[in-house]
Amino acid sequence: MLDDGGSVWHAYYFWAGFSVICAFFGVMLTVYVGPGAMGSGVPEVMGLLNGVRYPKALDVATLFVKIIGVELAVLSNLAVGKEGPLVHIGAIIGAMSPYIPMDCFSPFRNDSDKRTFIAAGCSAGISAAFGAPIGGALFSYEISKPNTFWSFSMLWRVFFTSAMSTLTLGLLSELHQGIPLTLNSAAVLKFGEISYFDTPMFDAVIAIGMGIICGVLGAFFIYMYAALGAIRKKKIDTPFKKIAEVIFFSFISTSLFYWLSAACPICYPIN
Amino acid sequence: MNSEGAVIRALMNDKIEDTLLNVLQFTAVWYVLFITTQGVTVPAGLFLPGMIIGSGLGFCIHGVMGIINPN
Repeated sequence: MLDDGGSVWHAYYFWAGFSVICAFFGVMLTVYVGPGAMGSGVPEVMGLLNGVRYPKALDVATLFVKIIGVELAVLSNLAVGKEGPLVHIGAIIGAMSPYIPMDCFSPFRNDSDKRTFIAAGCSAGISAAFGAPIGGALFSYEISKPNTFWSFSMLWRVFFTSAMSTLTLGLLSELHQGIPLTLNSAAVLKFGEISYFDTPMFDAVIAIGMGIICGVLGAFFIYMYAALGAIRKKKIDTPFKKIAEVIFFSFISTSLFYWLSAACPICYPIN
Repeated sequence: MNSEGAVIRALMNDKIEDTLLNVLQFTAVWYVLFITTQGVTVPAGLFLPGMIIGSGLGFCIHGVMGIINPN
């Protein structure tokens, strides 16, 4: 594959260029239009639900940059996911919904009801991402440390929001696939059919081992993330350095994925 | 190289065999990029990279178990 007359290189140039351009626009939007949209947004929502007032995370510019920027970030081959920002998008829409200029919404314009709306929006985002309304409601329950403001009557409201979000997404995605009103596919992320079989007891041991490995890797990630965050705070302080950093990472990721895939000689069809 | 959902779907595919080292390499590359990329100035989530790394690790453990006990 590596020696067919330079067409591999042409594809590489095109792909790397496309990724770098997407990364450039994404980081320009984030740096100059909505700096509150940086990162995944889950920590911001967590803080908002627990009583931190952070208005930068809830304005229109942040919503706009979040929606456009996450697409550009995923397109630019950075090792990032698109599910975290859905939480933030949902939370912003939830926080904005009491301010619809109609009379019947005016009783909701207080702090506690606004937090209810934020929690509902964040659970709607999760359930739209994974097609999991119960998971979305539980996620919202978990990140708003429930002793602060969570009330029992909120749980079914939040769950209802998640269910409506999943239903809407399912209807729209079926419309997109050309099979309307069948209610079979309702998630951005689907794993396809999985064949189940009996699990012996020995699998529990493997599961414990996997859990330990993943926990160690996660702890190492948190440690490295904190250390790198401190370095980033010190060294990368001007907008130019931020832009250059994102473009650098986009280029590195694209090159690694491309050349490792090209160097791997085996190819399997996906279902 | 594919979109993330497709990667996980491909890892769950039954037909893939003999690619233990490749998947290990893939997971390691994703993990290093995941660590270094988080915190850059773009909107970026960390659910899916975590899921990809986890599914890659699970695939590797499946392969190792297959080597230890071929039945």
